[in-house]
This record gives sequence, structure tokens and C-alpha cells, in this order.
Amino acid sequence: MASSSSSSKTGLKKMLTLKSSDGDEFELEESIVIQCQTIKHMVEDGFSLIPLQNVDTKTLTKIIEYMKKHAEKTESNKEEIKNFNKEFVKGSFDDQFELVSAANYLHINGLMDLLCQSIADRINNKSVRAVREIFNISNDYTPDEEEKVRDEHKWAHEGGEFDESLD
Amino acid sequence: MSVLIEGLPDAVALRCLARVPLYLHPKLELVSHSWRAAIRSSELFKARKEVNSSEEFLCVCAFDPDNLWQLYDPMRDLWITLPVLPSNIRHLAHFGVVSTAGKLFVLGGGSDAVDPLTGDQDGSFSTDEVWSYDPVTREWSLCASMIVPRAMFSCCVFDGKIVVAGGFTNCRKSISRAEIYDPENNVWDPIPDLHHTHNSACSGVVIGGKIHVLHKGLSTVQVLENVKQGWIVHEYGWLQGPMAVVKGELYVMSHWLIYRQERETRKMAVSASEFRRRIGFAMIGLGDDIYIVGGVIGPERWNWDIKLLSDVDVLTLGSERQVWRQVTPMTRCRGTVLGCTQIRI
Repeated sequence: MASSSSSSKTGLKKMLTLKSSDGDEFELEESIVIQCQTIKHMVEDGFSLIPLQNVDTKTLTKIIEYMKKHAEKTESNKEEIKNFNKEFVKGSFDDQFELVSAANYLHINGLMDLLCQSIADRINNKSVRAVREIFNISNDYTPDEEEKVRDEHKWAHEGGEFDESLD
Repeated sequence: MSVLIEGLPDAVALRCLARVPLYLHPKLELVSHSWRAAIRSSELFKARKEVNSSEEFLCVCAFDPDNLWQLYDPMRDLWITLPVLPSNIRHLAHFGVVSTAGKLFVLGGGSDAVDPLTGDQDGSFSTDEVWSYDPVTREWSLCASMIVPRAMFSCCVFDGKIVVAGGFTNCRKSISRAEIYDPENNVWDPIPDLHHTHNSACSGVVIGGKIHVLHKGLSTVQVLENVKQGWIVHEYGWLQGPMAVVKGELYVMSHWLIYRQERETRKMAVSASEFRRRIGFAMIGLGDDIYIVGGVIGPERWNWDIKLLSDVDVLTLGSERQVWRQVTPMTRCRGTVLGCTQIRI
């Protein structure tokens, strides 16, 4: 607490360098990066150059964009952050999987929540067939088994219209 | 369990699936065996709690069909049907119903089926049977029986445990005995008796963390604040009628008016005159809303038919225009509501 207030008074900001798996380096203020629990722990251990072997440049760029925006969060710009989040989760399922894996590895809880919710929202209205295709899951039910599972919850399969698209 | 979503650790995939609403679970189960296993795992329901995506439902059982419970999802305005309660007692009624520890509990009660020749109660006036429904396994199972069989009794959740008090035993005698159930250990223990029984049915409501037991036709309220201390008798003189607790406040319907009942005083809150012809409905609070569920339109002078209702009417308290609105009626249950409670899953 004491050290952070004194550094802001003098205008000195502690900088950190993140290195992606592709070898690109990004210099950032510590105050932005500590949203990420994994890095925060490394900073506490005295690291200032942080190699991230599981995160490529493309994903890291997105994640830095997220951390920068969320570091600006105040009481008055809630709406702005909300819109940013909305834009941020647009993109293909593959992009989202990359991001959520990285967020999980880096322990950025807010981003995890945002992405998991977005993935859940996007599969909510999908048909069973579309869900299988999107996630590349092969149907391991026999037709009899599938019928049995369907029969267990007849109420759930009546009248519902589901989206067959794969995006 | 094989990998749920390629490229994602299962723990992350589970955190995504935990955010899918309950009503879509049957669909996701159809994806594959591993998805089915994940959807029906206790880990998923734990994750739902952790990521704050648990949902609140209304649970209703009515006269028809026999021993069938439905859940109402207020967010999507739809009904979910549970498997039939497998009790041997036909037309189980006058039971207690509560939810705690993530499960729905149906306790005691007796058969409502009456032999048309003898007027007998189908052999069972009251039972000590306790059933629980687990949303994880989607099965009903028998729990430890109550110490005393009872019907038409007070049944409330107190500090995560279930407290039952009063009612009638199998010999149609009213009782003052009370007991507490610990859902973790599946055991019943006696607690201090009620001070009054008054030969009538009783019901219980929890207000401010305390159980309030009211007997039909009796002005006293017996309050439990501390299990060891036992019941304290108060002469509150509350209105009698269907009760609902909304946002911690008690509402009572009397002569088609709903009052907010405080300890010593009451204030008219809203009119319920549209339900004038309706009997046997349930009144219950869910979120900021009061629900009027099911019931029957009774026989009239010129029409002896009894119409079983599946209607559900809702009013949001504190809204500017306090108007009753109809939501999707129950898809299976209809008629006199035998049990109604809330559950968070």
C-alpha cells in the first residue's frame, strides 16, 4: 500500500515486460498487469520480465487490450466497460477458446467470467447437432440410447426451436 | 470422462456449462456421453453456485396428476416436470414441503384419496415418510423417517435444517411435538414441544430467521428463535388466510385483500378481488413477486362443475402499477395446490 502511493506521487511507474510464446515483448505498467493473478505472484517474487510460454502474440495482444481497459474502470464508466466487453467477446469460437485457455492459465478472473458466460450464451440456443459440430464432438450415442435420453425429459424437447448455425 | 470441449481444460469447460440455464440441461445431455456425465455431476452444480449462476424456481404439486411436481422458471416463464414422486401413498396431501441443502423435501402428509363407500382415507391418514428430490441425480429418494407421523403441520427451514411442529398423527389426534432434521447427517432429533395445539391444522412461516407457527382459529403465534430455548407464545392476533413472505415481509390474504402483516399492525397492500371465485390455490413469494398458483373454481348454484385450474397469476410488489398478470400456466399440474415452495438450484 505504502509503496504504491509513494510511487504515484513521484510519477514513477513501475514497468514490466511480458513475453509471448512467439518471442514478442510487451512493456506495461505493473498496475495494469496485476489484474492477472499468475503475473502478480511472479511480480511479488521479483520478476520484471515475464515469459508466457502458453500465450501467443495474437492472444496476448487481446488480453493486454482487456487489461488496459479494465484498469481504467471507475464508478462513472460502467457503461463504457460494458460496451467494451460486448465487443471484446465477438469473434469465432476458436478465438474464444484461445482466450479462455489463456485467461485460465493467467488467472484473470474477470476475463474468465466474461468468456465463459459468452460461450454459454452462444451455445444456449444451438441445436444438439450444432453444438456437436462447433465443439467437434462425435455423437457416441446409439440411436436407441439417444431416444432413451430424449424420452427422460419429454417436456424439454417440446416446441423448442434451436439454432442450427455454427458461428 | 473424456474431454468435454477440445482445446479446453475440463475445469474451464465445466465453468462454461455451469452458466447454461437448467432448462437447457436435457438438451446438452444429448450431445454425448461425457456431456451427459458432466451435466449430471455434483461438480457442475457446485460450479453453478461458485459462478453465481444458480437459479430460483417455484415447486408445485397439485391435485392432478397424482404425486407430480413441476418447477417454474420465472426467468424463462416455463415449466419443468420432475419424475413422479414414487410414494406408495396415492394422492399424498397435507404434507410439508421445503427446500434446503440444494434438495426439495416432501415430508409426512396422508392420502387425499377417499373411499367413496366408506369415506376412509385410503388407509393412511398421516405418514412419517420423508422424500427428497436431488436436482443433480434427478431422483427422489427416501430419507430418515420423522419420529412422529404427521399431516397438516408446520414445516420450515431453520438454519439449513428442517423443523416440523404440530399437526395430526395417524390417529387423527393433534400433537404438540416438534422435531428437527439435519440434511447433512440424515437424522431427526426431538426439540421442545409447542405450548398449544388447538385441535386444528397449523402452518409455519419464517420471518427474520424465526419460525412462526399459526394454528387455524387461534390468535396466538408460537415463535422459535432458538432450538434449545423452545417456543415463545405471542398474542399477535394476525389475520388468518393464505400467507406469503416476500423480501422478508409477511403478506396475508383475507377477504380478497392482501395485507402486509407486521408484528402488531397491518396495512392493506393490494387487492386480490379477481380471485374471488378461486379456492384451493397457493399463495407464495418468489423474488419481488407474489404468486397465486392453481386452485379450483368451486361449484355454484347454477353450475355444479368443479373446474381445475392450472393458472398462475403474479404481482410485483412495490411496482408503480400493482396489477396482476398471468404467466404461463402449469403444463401438467392442475387443481387444488397441495404443496408449493421455492428452490435455488
